[in-house]
Amino acid sequence: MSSSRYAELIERIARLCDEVIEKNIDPFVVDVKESLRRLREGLSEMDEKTLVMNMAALLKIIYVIALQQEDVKKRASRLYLDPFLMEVRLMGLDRERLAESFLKAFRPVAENEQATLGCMRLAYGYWASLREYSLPGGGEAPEAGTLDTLAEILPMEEADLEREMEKLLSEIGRGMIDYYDFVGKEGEDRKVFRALVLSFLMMRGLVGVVQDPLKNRVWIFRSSPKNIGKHSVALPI
Amino acid sequence: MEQEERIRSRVARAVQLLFFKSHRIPGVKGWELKKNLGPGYLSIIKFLNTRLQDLGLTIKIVSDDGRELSMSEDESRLSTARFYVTLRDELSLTAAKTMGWSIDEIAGLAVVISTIISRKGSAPVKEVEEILKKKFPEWRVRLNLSRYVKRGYIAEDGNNLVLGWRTFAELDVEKFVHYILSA
Repeated sequence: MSSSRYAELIERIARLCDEVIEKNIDPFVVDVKESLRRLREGLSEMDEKTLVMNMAALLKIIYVIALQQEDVKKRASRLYLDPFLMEVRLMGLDRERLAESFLKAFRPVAENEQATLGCMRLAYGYWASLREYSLPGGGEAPEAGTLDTLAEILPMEEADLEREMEKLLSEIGRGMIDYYDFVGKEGEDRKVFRALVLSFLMMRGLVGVVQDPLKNRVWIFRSSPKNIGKHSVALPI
Repeated sequence: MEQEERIRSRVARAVQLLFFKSHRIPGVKGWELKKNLGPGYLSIIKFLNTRLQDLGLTIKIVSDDGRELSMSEDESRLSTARFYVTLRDELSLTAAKTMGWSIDEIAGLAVVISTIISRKGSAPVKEVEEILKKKFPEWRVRLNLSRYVKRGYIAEDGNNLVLGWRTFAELDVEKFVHYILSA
């Protein structure tokens, strides 16, 4: 047999092994014994390049053997299920029975959602990736400046944020303050930042919000967590 | 008295860590608990667990490879495992509905998870979709699959679907398979 014929044969074996390894198909489709016999054939006649290919194919067969071993282990375990039998079983059950079987083994996690800097970073990433689209309602693309401001805020440490919250809280006196005057107090550059920090104060119940939809005005005031009603307000800035 | 107060504040801190989500995934790693509660963190967790059990909750420990661990497990395994608070008892169908689940959603998830398990933990998306289409309206199949991915019950691995972190945290896989086969 010529070297090119050997190379072709080796390539075919290697390709089959690749299919099994990459596509997660049944590793027993590779006949290991036969493949090894073919790789051994004509070893003395192969040129250097074909020998390297031979070695690479041999390594792939070793990997397939490991997969076969893993497969045997799984089949021997209690969790092994034949895919076809499982499908037949699933088709034979109505939705209620399926749901009931699931719920018998289901114990949901008790968790409390909250806004964290991590969430804000995620949201920022989302909005930044939508830069070329318009914002709903506004009809305009988000300004680069706004996103830059957010980009400055998000790497902030919790401790810095706490400091900024304290600072803003001290600016709010006893009476009602116009929301837009308050967030825009230090100019457009700091507007988004102040609104974000203020939203954290609102979330903690330290600042309350009153809206007058007729006059389209929004006021904020100092509050304590126990005095504040829980509701969500979207305030455009 | 001082000792009692110290324990009380540690238990309170453990509650904060376990219930309030501070990462993308709920729960907290063993090493994080140790860092916050000190080297005796397991005693605090055990004590909290007994209190939670009275409320119908329990602390579940899941290792990186999705196995449930007990509190007597080796320290090194516990430190990389994730601690969750889960319901202790079975949910009724009515209770699940009040939690926002529909029967179709639950049944669909049961089909998806069973299919993935029967295919050795990884099933092609197309195959899963085909099986779902035999039981549910076509428009619902993609929608439900993306919901399951978003909630963490399954994950995409190239063109395949694998079990997600939430399945390991919330489902006793072995029991589930048993219930499906014996239903």
